[in-house]
Amino acid sequence: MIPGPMSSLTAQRWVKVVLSLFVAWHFFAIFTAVTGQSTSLIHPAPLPALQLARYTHWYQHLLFMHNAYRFYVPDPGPVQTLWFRLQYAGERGRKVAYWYEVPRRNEFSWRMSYQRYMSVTMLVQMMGPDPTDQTRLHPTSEALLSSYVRHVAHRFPRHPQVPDAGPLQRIEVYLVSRTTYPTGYDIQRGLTLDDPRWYRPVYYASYNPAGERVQLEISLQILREQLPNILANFRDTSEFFSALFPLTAEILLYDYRFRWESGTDRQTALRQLNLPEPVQQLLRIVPEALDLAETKPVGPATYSELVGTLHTLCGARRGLRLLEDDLLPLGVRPRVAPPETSPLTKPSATAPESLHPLLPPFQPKPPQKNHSPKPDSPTSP
Amino acid sequence: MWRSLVQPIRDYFRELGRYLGRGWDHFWFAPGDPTAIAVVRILTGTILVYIHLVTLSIVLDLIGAHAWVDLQAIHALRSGAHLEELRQKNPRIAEDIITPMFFSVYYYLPQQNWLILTVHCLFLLAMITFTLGLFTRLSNFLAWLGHLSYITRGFTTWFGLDTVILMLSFYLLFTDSGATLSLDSLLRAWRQRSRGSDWRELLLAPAPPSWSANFATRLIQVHLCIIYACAGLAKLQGGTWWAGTAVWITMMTEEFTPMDFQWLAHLGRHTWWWLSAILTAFTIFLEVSFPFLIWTRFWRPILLFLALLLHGGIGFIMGLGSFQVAMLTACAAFISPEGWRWFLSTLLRYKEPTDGDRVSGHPRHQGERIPVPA
Repeated sequence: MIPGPMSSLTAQRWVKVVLSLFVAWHFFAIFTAVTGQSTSLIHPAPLPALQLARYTHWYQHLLFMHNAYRFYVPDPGPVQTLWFRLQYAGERGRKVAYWYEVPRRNEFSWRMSYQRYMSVTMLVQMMGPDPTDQTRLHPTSEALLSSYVRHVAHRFPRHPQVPDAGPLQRIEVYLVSRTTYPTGYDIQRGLTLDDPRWYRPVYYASYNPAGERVQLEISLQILREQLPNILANFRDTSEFFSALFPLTAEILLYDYRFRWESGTDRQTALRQLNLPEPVQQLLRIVPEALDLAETKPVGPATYSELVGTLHTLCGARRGLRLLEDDLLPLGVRPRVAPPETSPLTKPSATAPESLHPLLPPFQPKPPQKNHSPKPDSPTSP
Repeated sequence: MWRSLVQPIRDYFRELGRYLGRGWDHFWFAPGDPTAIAVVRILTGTILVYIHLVTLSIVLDLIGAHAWVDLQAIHALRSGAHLEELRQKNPRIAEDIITPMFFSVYYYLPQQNWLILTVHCLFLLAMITFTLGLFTRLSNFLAWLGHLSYITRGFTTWFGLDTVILMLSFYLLFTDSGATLSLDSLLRAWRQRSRGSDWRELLLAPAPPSWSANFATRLIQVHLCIIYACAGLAKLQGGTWWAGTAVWITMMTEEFTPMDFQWLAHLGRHTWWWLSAILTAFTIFLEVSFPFLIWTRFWRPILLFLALLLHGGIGFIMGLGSFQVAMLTACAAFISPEGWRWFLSTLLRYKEPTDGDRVSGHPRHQGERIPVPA
C-alpha cells in the first residue's frame, strides 16, 4: 500500500474557485461553438449564438474545440472528392494529360491515411460558395485550393508515365460528388453502386503550377459552349443523364486522342492518362466510345456523338427493371386492365412521364377500344 | 411584517445556494480513484500512437514544407489576406468571417522537411511514453501539443476522431493520469517494495484518491454528454433521420464502408428500409437519451452497453474504427474505478489481497467516506 499525499484528497479553496470559473468559461465556449454553427442553409444558427461565438472563437480555436459535433446532419450526404487534370507540354504543340484522383481508395494501405485525404477533399468544399458570387467557392476554400494545386504541382513536376513529356503547364480542378446514393429500391431496379452515372464532376477552375487562376484553354472553352445545345437533346427524355458523359467525351477527344495519335496503343494510352475510376468504369461499359475517339475528326460533331453514344449505350447496358413502386398507386390505376397484358408493358395513357427521376418515361399509347377506362375511374379525363 | 414575509424566501434561496454549492463541490472536487482516468490515458495514448504511426508514410503530405495546405496559405488565412477581394466587394460580409486562430508548433519551424519530421518523431515518442505512463505529466502535455500542432498544421486533414482525442488528452492534463497503471507507478512501487514482488501487484498497486482525478473524469463525462446531445438533436432536423433511411445511406457510402451492403436490398422488398429504420431510431434514441440517463445508476450499464453496440456498429458499417474506439474511450470515464480494477484483475488473473476496509484498493481513513466519481 502506498500512502499518497493527503493534499490530493481535497483542493484548496482558491483552486476550487479558479477551476470553477474555468469550468464555467470552458463549457460556455463549447456551448457557443455548438450553437453558433448552422446545420444547413435552412437551419441557420441563432443570431445571439453567432454573436456570442465571436467572443469565444479564439479559445475554441486555440484548443481546437470548435467542432459542432454534428455528424451526418441534417442528413448523410454524398462524399466530395477532387480530380486534378495536369497538363504537360508535348511534342509539336500537343499536350499530354495526367489525371490525379484524390483520394483513390486502393492506393492506401491504411484507413487512417485514406481518411486524412478524404478530409482534405471534403473540408475544402464544405464552406459553401462565396457570399458575393455563387459561382465561386468561399474565399477560404479558394485559398486552400490554390495551395492544393501547388502541392499537386510539386508532387508531379513531370509526367509520371510519359518521361519525354515537357514541364507542367496547367492544372484543372474538378469538384466531384455523387448525385445521391441508391435506395434499396434502386438496387432492386438494377441501379447499383458501381454505376458510373452516379458521379457528378464539375469543372471549377484552371491554375498555373504556382496556384494562380488562369483562363480555361480556348479549345475547351469553345467545346463547352456547345454543351447546352448538346444537352438539350437529352433533356427531352428522363433518361439518367450524367455529367460524367460530357467530361468523358472531352477526355477521349483531347487527352486520349492525342496519346493515340502519337502512336501509343490503347491500353498504354489509358494507363498513361491515369483516368479517374468512374471514367474507367464508364469506358469498360461503353468501349465503343474509344473507337469513335480514334476514328472521327476532332470537333463539336464528334463531341456530340460521343456524349450521345455514352448516354445511349450506358443506359442500354445498365437497363432498369421496373418495380411495383414504379407503377401508378393501386387507387389510381385503371380499374379495368386486360388480363393478358401487364401494366409493365401497357401503361395507362394517363400515366405521368416518369414515376422515378431515374427511370425512362412511360410512352403514352392510345387506349385500346375494348379496354378503355370506365367513366367513373379516377384516372379518366 | 415585511421581514417575516421576506424571510422564508431568503431562507429558501440561501438553502438553495448552499445545496447547489455542496452539489457543485461534490460533483467536481470530491476525491476519486484515478484508475478510470489511467485506463482513459492508456486508450487515448494508444489511439494517438496508432494515428501517427500509420500515417508516417504520408506525414510530409500533411504537414511538410509542400503539404496540401502550405504555410503560404495558412499565413494568408490567419491574417485574413484571403478576404481582401471580398473586403473590396462587401466589407460588412468580410468583417463577419472569422479568421482562424489556430496554434501549431509547425507554424514557427523553418520549412525543412528533415526538421519537421524530427519534431514529429519527438512528439510521437512523447505519445508512446504517455501511453506507457512514463514521465506522464510531461509526456501528456507533449502528446496533446503534438497532436494539436499536427492537426492545425494540416488544416484540412482532421475529422471527428481528432476533436475527441484532443478533448481527452487535454482533460487528462488536469490530473496525474500516471498515478496508477503506468511505468511511473510501477517504478515507484518497485522502489518502495521488495524486489521479488509480483509485477501484476506492482502494476495494479492502487493510487491514493485525488480530487484532480475526479475533476478530469467529470470534464470528460460532461463533454461527452454535450457531444451526444448535439449529435442527436441536430439529427432531428434531417429528413432522412425522420424517414429512417439515414443509416441505409451511410451503408451505401462506399467511400467509407469496409464491405458491400447492397445484398441487403435483395432480402425482401422493404427489408432494407425496416433494417435502416430500426438502426436509425436506435442511433437517435441513444444519442438523445445518453446525456440524461447516463447519470442514473439503473440506466448507466445499459447505456454503456448500447454505446458499445452503436460504436461497434458504426465501426463495422462505416469502417471508422479508430473514431469509435475514441468515443468508447470517453465512455470508459463513466465506468467506476472499482469496475476497472475488477476487470483488470480478472484480465491479468491477479487476485487483490483483501486488506480490511478498502475503497478501490486504498485504505479508508477512520470514519471517512471517500466518494468515487460515478
